[in-house]
Amino acid sequence: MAERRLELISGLLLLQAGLLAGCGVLPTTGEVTPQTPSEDYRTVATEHRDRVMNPATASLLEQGRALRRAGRPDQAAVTLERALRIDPNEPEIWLELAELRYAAADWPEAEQFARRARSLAPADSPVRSNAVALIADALDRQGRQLEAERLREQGV
Amino acid sequence: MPSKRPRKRRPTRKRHAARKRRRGRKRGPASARRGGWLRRHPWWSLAAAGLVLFAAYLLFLNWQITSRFEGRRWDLPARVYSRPLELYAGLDLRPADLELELRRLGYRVVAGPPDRPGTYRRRGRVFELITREFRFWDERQPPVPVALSFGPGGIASLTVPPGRPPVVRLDPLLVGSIFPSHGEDRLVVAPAQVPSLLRDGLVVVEDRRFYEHAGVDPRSLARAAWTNLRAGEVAQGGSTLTQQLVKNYFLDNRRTLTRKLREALMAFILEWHYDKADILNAYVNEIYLGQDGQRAIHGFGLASQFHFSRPLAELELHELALLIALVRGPAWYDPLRHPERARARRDLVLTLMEEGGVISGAAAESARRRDLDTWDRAAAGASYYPAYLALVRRELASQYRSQDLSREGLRIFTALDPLAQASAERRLAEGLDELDRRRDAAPLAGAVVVTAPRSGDVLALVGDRRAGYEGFNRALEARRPVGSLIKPVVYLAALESGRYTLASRIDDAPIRVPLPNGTVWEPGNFSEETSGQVTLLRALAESLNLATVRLGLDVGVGAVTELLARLGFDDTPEPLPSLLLGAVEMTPLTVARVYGTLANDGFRVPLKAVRSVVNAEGVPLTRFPIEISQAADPADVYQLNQGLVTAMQRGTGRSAELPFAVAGKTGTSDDFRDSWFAGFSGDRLAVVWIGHDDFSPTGLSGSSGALPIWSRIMRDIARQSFGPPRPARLVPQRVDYYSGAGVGRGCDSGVELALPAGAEPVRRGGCTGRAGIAERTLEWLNDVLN
Repeated sequence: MAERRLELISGLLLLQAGLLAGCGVLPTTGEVTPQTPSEDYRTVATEHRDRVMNPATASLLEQGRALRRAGRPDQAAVTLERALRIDPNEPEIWLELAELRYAAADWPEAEQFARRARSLAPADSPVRSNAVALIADALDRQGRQLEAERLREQGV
Repeated sequence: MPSKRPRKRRPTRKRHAARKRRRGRKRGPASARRGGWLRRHPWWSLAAAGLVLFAAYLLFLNWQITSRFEGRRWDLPARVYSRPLELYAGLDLRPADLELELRRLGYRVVAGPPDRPGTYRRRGRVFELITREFRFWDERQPPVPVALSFGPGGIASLTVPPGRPPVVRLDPLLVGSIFPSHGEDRLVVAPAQVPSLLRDGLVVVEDRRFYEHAGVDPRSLARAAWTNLRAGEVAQGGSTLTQQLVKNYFLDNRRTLTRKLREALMAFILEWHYDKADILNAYVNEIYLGQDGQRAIHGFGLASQFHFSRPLAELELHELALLIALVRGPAWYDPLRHPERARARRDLVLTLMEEGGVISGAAAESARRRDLDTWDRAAAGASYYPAYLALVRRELASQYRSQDLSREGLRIFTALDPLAQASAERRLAEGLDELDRRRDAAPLAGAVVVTAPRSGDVLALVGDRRAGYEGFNRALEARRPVGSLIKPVVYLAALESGRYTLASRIDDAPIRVPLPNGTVWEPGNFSEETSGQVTLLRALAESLNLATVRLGLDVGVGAVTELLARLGFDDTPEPLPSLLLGAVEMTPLTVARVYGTLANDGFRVPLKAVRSVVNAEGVPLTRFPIEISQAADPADVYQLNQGLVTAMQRGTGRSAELPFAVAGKTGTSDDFRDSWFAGFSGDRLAVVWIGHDDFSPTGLSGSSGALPIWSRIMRDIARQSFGPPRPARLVPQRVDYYSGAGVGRGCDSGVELALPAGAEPVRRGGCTGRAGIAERTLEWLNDVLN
């Protein structure tokens, strides 16, 4: 009986998750919805999510950007990784880390971080197109112009 | 004025020297005269020789004690810290877990609003606290007053002073130290961090005339004898603090007269060289105050953490008195094992402090009414994590010499999550106890690894069912056959080939594989039945051996080993067909690495325990940044993971019954020697291994042994459903679980699968509906019977 109840509860939870999929993660005040589980994974009917960034993540991301602008890349990286541990699915953080690697002329790492950002970014989002542009630039810098060109043509 | 004129009496040094000078010229008469003098003054010469020897001995002692004293100032074991708990609105944390974390950090409950760092107040779902100041690797966080309230999904709101970011770190838990092989561990405190009550208390209890004597004090010896006579027990010792310090340096408990004399001489020497404040500070950091397994607790700084889990500066009078009480006999007065004895001694210390004028009578009285208030280490789980520390040492071994780690006072910040660690320890121990009760065999061994796959953080590591056990660390060292855990790699290799999708069909029928050595390999299914034409989805979810071998041979064993290396396996196994069913050995940590790449949508993130190392002054020495590299196409991994999610819903992992989506796989090696489970949610990955160290059969499959433990751990620690974004080149379709044919919504055996856009699902078969009927019947029976 308990098992049946559990199934029911999990079913309901998934249903609720389905309803919530696509809406934001965290309002700044009041009741908070935890990281939205996407609806039953195998269905995947809607786009992954339109994320609203957690205020903690947003603040750390902003802090990381400010540190990078202030010419303190090491501090920036530490702060961004802190943000990443809070919300590892946030593509903007991965992209920001890719930018840091790019600025440090570490092209292969910049490419990898940008690829990760792309894999997490919703289709047609600015983060995604920025990630693609950064991957292409990093490929160029590694002497892989053909791949870069192809990627720019595909644009995803 | 040196004179060559011989004197008749009193052989002075000058005369002796003069005689020596003459000796070269008039050898015969001089030596005759000297021999004569020796004969005439035998006692004087003996005394002189004795003096010379004694002076040499003093010089030796001087060298010994000063080098020890000076050296010890720098002999600081590296401190190992857990991850700091980040508090922010939206953190999915239970109020009980926050309270546990605060208790482990030694935060004190207060009735009113928290008024100083390290205190908190809880009113139902609302917490108010003031964090301690802490020097992290990246910044010094001042004490921050925080108010937070919990909602159904964790922390709903967090209030911090204006101008502060909306995210606050608690100080990390001190989880261990890398102390030298002699086992002495200490947490050195600077003079400023030593409460004056402790200093004054030590002086009145242990050595009243500390500030007057010169290392040894005959009067205090006499007084001690008198006090002890009056108290009827050894309440006071005769040794001065300086003597006790010397005794501690050499840890020699033989009560011999020569040792006592040597101690006294060294005490004089110490007092000659250093001032009282230096000696008292050395005493506070040196004195032996307890034993924790192989670890000897030295100094009040560490004793405060050990007994109260809070910094020395935060201790109250009754707690300081207990630490002073321990000086007399750390084991005899152990507050956990002998609370009454410890309490009596503490109260005596309070009385002595009162009599000595250090505290008022009222303060002593109210302190005497307090409980011991020691931190209940047993209730809070292990306070020391040898298995995890072994990984920390391993990671640092390439960059730091062991003496750097045990002496330089480094601070090592790790990813250890005490809540995850406590869950893994408890669930493994409980699970194995349960399994042992059901079987009549030797006790099982086990190991657990828990990671945060996105960042590669190793959150918890359990190498034995006994938490805190320092022996064989199975999580890192037990290399065991992985059985079906290998299957996802075979299926991913097939998906990568482009010739298969999850809806493709393959024959699950008997197979004979001729091997290079002339023999023939004839694998069988776990159920000893065959299923004929099956989808890849079903073959993976139900872990069908024959279909897997056929698939693996079709894509090539070489392709599988090549992929295995890309995913993170650091060995090069021989590409034999038996590898397709898991005849390859891995440690639980290696399995976590390989599965981590699957959990990360094909991106490989090296696993790490250490985040950064700073030196004693707080200057960062080494940082271990997050690294990442793409090892497989996210679309292929996405497809594969659908199979692993299905395994949890209707395949070999279905008994987990977690209320959120997870992906995972069982593993059972030949003859049930190893029971594995590896799987992940959106935020956590765990690997559980169970077996016997001598490789004898356990009678347990992956789902009957490791899975229940895995699912309990995940229930404790996982917060996010597994649900990665669908790659653009995959299109959701509804296909039949059994036949792989495209079906409509009405088909009970249909499942939603995201498949490559160009790959049309098959063809023949249609909706089999078998599951529908079977499941409906089962459900109906279930309802009727319950």
